[in-house]
Amino acid sequence: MHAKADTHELVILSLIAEEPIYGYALAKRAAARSEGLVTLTPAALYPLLARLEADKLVSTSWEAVKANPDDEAAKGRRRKWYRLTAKGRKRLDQRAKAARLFAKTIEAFLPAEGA
Amino acid sequence: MPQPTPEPAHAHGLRIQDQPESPRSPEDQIDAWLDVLVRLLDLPADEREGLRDELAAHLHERVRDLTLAGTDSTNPNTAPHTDPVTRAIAELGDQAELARALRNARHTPRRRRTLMLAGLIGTSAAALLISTAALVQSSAAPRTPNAVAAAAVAADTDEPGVLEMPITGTYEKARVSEVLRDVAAQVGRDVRFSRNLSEHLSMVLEPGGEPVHKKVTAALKSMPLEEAVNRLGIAMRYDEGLLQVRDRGDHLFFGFRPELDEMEAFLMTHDLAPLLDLGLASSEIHGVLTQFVEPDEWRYNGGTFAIEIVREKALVEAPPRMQAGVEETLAVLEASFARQPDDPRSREIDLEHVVAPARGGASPQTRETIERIFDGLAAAYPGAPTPAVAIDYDTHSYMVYGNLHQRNLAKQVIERFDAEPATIPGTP
Repeated sequence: MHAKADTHELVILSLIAEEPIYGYALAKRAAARSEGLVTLTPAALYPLLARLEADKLVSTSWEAVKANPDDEAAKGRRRKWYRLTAKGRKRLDQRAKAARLFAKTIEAFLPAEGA
Repeated sequence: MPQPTPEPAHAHGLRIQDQPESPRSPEDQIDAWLDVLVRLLDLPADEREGLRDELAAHLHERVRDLTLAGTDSTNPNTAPHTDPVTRAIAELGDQAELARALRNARHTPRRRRTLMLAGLIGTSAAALLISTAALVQSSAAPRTPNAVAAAAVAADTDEPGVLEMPITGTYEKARVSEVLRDVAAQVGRDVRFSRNLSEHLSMVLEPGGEPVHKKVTAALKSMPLEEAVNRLGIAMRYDEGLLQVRDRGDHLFFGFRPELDEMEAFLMTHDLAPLLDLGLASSEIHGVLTQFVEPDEWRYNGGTFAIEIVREKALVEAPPRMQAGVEETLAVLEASFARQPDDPRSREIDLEHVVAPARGGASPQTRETIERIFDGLAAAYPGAPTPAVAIDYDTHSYMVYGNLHQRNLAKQVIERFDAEPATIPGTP
């Protein structure tokens, strides 16, 4: 798998592990958490979410969203929520372990700051 | 959230080039964009609707955030007149590329294998359909006007000459609509596009804007028309076989496969009597067809097309390719479960004269013995044809009526019981 896709998968699984979340909120939270360094464009985010769902790493459910929740007749939109599965948790642990090892390895070669 | 850089303007479309320049609501703009995307998805209906709803929710929230944030005058990539809807849609990228990514993501490895198998069955069955369609359709149930029209369309496509004519051309970032016109001109045809393809090939981003044309780079070297069109589709990043062409006599009709499938679907009955006679249950046949012939396309599996089994017929409303797949699969099933000629339940019945070997001629006692054995067979093999035996005193023979297994048993009895006494095995 492409390194960037690996990173995106780690970011997405990590955020979903914290709490159930939907696509748009996930993109916003990834950007906020990384102070803008991680940008999940919709074109990258939604196919990746679809793949995670097909691989059963996440489970999904739908929420009806209405501008006015008291208006039962109003036709609302649907929002898709993602939750981490046990299989997803295992994948996240693998990705996190690999990422930590990579960071530790690189750290050993970095010159001291300001040197 | 940081403001993503909008994709190049050519990648996005909001309305058809020839539509009047009337301002449209954000809802309409988003719906129009999603309509085209969903058409390109080539996924089961429930998955298409799910993706549509998810992306619609994303777009509406993004538009709301952009509207609340106001015009971002600090972003040099944002044109001053870019409205939140245009920008939100632009962030989603090109419809064809997004559709391709979503399709690929949805297909698990197992599903890809199944689709490949179904595709192989469908392809190999095409010739069989052509040879059998007329025969089967003659016994078809009453057809709807739509089905009749669709069948007429299907009949039009049975002109292999034009679709196999060689096409040659080198195109460098050329407008796809012009490339397809050139391809059609090479076979002496005018050209027409389906609604969704037309929307995808030529669009404008906003009211009053310049139309943006989809472009393609490809080299076609003397390849059959159908193959050339597929090659162009792949060059446009469509999935294999998504861009299709039909010969409609005076013009070539180009469109996406799901659209054409729906246009060409027709009702056809498939005879199941041979399979039911072989002992297969209707539910088993239904299960095989909906699992092996393009499984995702059946309404039963969340797709578009219908299959129902009524008594000894399968009523199938589907495009020619899937009808061929059904016919081929039924033939494979029949061949797999076909009985051997000496199968006790075989329905291949015949009348055979068996001359009595004894000098005394045919005997009523032997006939009764055969009848008792036939009674035992009927109990052992329910559903087998009912055999009969009679004596023809003029020819000193038995007339045995039944399948090969039944006739062979009768012959064994006759040979044993009507043998001359000296030849009875074990007799001193």
